[in-house]
Amino acid sequence: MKQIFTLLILFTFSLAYNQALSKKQDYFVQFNGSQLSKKVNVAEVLNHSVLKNYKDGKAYLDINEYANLLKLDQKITVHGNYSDSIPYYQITIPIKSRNDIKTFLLKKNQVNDSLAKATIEDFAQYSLYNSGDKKTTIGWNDNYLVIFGLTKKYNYNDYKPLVVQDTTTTVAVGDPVEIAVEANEEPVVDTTSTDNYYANFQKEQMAFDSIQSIHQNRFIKSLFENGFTAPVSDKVNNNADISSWIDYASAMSGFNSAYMALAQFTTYNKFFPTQKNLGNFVKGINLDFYFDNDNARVEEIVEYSKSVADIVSSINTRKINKNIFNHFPSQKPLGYMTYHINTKAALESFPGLSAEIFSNTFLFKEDISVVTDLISTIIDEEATATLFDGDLSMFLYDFTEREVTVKTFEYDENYEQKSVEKKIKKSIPLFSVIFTSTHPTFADKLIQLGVRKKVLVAKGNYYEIIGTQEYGNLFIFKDKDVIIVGNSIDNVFPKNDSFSKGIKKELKQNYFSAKVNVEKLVEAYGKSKEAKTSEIEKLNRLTQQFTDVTLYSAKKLVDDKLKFELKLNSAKADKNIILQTLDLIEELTSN
Amino acid sequence: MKKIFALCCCLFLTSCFEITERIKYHDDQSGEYTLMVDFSKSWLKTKSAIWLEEVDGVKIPNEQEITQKLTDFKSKVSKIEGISNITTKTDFDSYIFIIKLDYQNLKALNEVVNTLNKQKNQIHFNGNTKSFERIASYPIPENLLKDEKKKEDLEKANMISIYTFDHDILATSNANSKISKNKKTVFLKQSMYSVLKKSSLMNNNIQLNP
Repeated sequence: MKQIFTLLILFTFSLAYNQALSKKQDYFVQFNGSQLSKKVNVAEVLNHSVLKNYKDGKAYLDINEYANLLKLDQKITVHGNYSDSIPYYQITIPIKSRNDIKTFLLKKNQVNDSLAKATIEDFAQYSLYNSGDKKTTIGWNDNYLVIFGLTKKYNYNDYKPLVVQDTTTTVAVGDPVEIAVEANEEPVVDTTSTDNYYANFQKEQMAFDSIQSIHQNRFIKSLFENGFTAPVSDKVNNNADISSWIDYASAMSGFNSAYMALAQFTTYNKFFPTQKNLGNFVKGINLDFYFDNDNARVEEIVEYSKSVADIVSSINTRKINKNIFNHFPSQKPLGYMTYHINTKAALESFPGLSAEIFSNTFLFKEDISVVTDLISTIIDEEATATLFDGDLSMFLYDFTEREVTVKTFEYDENYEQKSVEKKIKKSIPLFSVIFTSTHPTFADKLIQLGVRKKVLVAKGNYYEIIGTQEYGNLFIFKDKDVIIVGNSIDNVFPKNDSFSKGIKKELKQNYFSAKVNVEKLVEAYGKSKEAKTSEIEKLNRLTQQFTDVTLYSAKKLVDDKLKFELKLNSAKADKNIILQTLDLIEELTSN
Repeated sequence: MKKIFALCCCLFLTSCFEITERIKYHDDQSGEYTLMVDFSKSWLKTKSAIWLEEVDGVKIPNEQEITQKLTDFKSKVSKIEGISNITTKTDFDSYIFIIKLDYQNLKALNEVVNTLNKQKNQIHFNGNTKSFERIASYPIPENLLKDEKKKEDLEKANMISIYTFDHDILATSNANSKISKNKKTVFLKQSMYSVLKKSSLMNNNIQLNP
């Protein structure tokens, strides 16, 4: 009986897998060896002493052994599907020689001391390797090697143990004598085979894995038997050294499924946005990496649906309030971030976006639109937007030592504690936050409220916030539309506009721009008492290597795609930044 | 409690901190015991460590967890015979944590320390009308001293003991200890690094004038 059930389950699964593998890709990663090999000698990277020291003693990590078999100056790809009923992954690697691969795998098989040995079969068009545990299948011909796997796992939810009906007979003892027969109508799991539960599960799991392996082999055959074509995707960027793309909707589907499994225990899952809605907003996300001599760069590109792209574009496009530049520092600060969005456009878009995101079968779109209409009616977006127009800039100028009065304790001559007020020198960051508000009265009224409540005290042309000595005496300053909160009043009255000129130019194309000067930051941190001697030495070495980190995001969306760019700039350009980084790691870890 | 705070020390090891043990010892062997762990000198780094929830792969307890640990301690220790008036104080602005309790005899005090260190029948304190002895043994987290990066922090941190008596102090066995002006208190301060390497640096045998 059990065997019949087992066979039935296996037959069901094999039927399921007889469906064709979906061609839809949920993700695609491309290592552009042809491009990267022009920038850096891969052998030099693999032979770097940092990697060598790491792999010493770890025979399985002899990277050179692998590198000798592969054509690292060509593209390596990884792609797959996780949202389909038959999820899979495929790794495609260009190789030098079919025979060398076979020799290599045979050698690995020999040193493998597990009981189940791998198998290698040779066919006319390709060779096939199956690992001993049947989980890994590799196919290769003279030019390409493919590692393929079906990722669905057999788990406890799939296992259905034998179900047996149980009847029990009870007899009532005493006056009057009656015999009552009760039939227990609930099916009962065969508890006599409890000890075999896990063993039976394992058997079925092994059977499942075997079927998976068969299907993997079939797929490999289909790839190679008529000549292999390397996978490509129009979603990745062929100009990037490493380019990756993910189908956001499918990713959210995976997340949603995982969440829904847990959300069965809550009453709120019905209100959760559905994958479909979120996936309608963001179609896909790219992450592209570039490694040049003088910088390393990563670009994140978010592809929106047309309607959302138009909204995003309207939010990003803002005519910056020029008054803020009057308060930008004259010299380049340690770090800054400046962000400019159209708040009015954001508020106007919000109800519509919310309705789209949160509509699901439980909350009808019509229901949501009642709420959003009400909010839209109450809120005057244009007026509300004047509270915070959308310009926000933050600066970190320096670190300084300020005398701060703190309550601490000391010991008297008899070692009893006594509370004392002491003036100590504390290292504090000098910063300011600048934003704009064109509301005619709100900011002034708020400031006056602060004064009346004795939270603010007027000091000439600015107001000091009471009780902030520890932070270097915070102030609020207002100059027409511009409001500044900070602790360094001198820095908001610059003597020249050399720095702000540069920023203005950056902000013509970008709505967001940020930069951290590594050297200055480390210098300032080193002077502060927070730093330890050992830390300072290492940080100084870091500053010799890297100058700054910059982050930009362009106003304009191209093909409905919004780009964020993070760039790490190097002080040197004598070799590729990958090698420079390995050199740095070696130096920092050798002490 | 020492074990908990020793662990806290391990976790918060980013900068300067102090652990102070203060004992008032009366002739009848009763007295007061106060343990204070003070991270106020490294306030910012402590706050960051708690906020990050993890430092160097080690989980940092958050404010609720710390408060809970102290509550658990109070509950455990209140069951020991001879222990009373247990109070705990947490200051999450300055990161100072204090435990205070009254003990009726040294047996009860030893039991307190044993309970918290998960030790059995260990003697930490010995005494009579003529003398008072501290036998230090601190539960040291493994690998703590092996980490060279922590050494600089541990050297800046301090372990302090302050013992006050009803009678004058005649002599102390620990050469690093100091006697107060009124001769009733002995003060001993050592770097945490030294103490963790050698607990006996905090040992002290104090002779009293009966």
